[in-house]
Amino acid sequence: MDRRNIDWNGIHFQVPRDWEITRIDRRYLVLESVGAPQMEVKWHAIRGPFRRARYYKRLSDACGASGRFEPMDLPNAWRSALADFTAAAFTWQKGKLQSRGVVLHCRTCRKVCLVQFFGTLAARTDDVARQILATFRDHAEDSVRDWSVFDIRARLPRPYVLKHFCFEAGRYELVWQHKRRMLTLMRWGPAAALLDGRKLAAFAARQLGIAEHRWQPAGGASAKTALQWRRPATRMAVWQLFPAPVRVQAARIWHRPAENRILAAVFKDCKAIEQDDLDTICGSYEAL
Amino acid sequence: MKRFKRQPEAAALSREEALNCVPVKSRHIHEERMPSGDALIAYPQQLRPLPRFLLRRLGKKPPAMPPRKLQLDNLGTDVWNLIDDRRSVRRIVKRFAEIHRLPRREAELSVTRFLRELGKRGLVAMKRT
Repeated sequence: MDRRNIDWNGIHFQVPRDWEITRIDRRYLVLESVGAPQMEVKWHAIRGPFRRARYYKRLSDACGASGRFEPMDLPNAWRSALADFTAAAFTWQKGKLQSRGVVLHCRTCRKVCLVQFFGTLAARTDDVARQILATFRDHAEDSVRDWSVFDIRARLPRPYVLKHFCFEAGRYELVWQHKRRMLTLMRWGPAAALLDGRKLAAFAARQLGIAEHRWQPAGGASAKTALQWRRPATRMAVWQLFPAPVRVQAARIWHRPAENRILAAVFKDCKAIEQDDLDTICGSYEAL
Repeated sequence: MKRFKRQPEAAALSREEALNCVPVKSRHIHEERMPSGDALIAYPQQLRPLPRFLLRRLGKKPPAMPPRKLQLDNLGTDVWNLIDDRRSVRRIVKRFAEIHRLPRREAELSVTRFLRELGKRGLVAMKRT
């Protein structure tokens, strides 16, 4: 089956390609397929020990009087897929909607995740659920963290913390922070309609507020479709005695004609951004 | 007091039902093309309810209002061109996503929001199938 990655705020799993994210929050995802909800994931970090009974009670209370919540034994098919977690399975029903899910506790990162699959519990659905759970990870093993939602993908150093995000039709914006550095990744589409024969620099000036004449070709193979701006170095040493304000230090915008998208990365900091940092982050940010 | 009794609200459509509706253009509009290819739609303007009510009470006819004009951008024109009184919202979304290589969900959000705006201005109505 054709699958795609979902990477969001430390959580990773693979879903069938026709499943789409319809609700997204910092620690919450709902995926749908052909207008019907398929899967819900929510997670949070806990401090103390994981108590299964406490989570069952909390879920039972959340279900309310009109719904029905029942703990169940972890299905054998799921057991092998969830060997790295402490798992507690359940079934849930409210009106026409029914689901089967699992509460997962990771001993390494101390996160508790609730994963539930909606719909009839046919053999195919169960197999899809097993495959998704087999790919489920709640923390990254290395020093980078992947981000892959909708049609964008990026790979950022792990200390970058998501501060703000906005997914509007035609325009996405995600902001991360690491110490005083703010990184904003943007994506616009459809590029052909937005540019409409105008220059990319004119579009960049309008969207990012950096004058058209300041943009320079970014160099490399994508020089024709990528522009870059970096704040010139301060010459007067006396100014360096004062604390520098956090402001835009560098920005890059590039057009991906094949995907019909425009991507941009903006760095705010109190000190200059290294060209390598700019290249690494922009190189890992792509439209799918 | 019966006069002020709240009218029962029409049952809201589900998402599936709304996507199966067919948008139909109003017969009272006049459509032009700009040199850029964008659509310029002229539609009749109605007097606001309060002045219309007052004029009626005074036994006067509401004056003829100049038509309002709405110029669509290139994306709006694409959706407008796809409205042919036969295609459902779902098919318009699918075609729009194909033309602009957009994810289906993103295309659905933009097209439905645009159709809602057109509906508020009385330029299109939704036919249930």
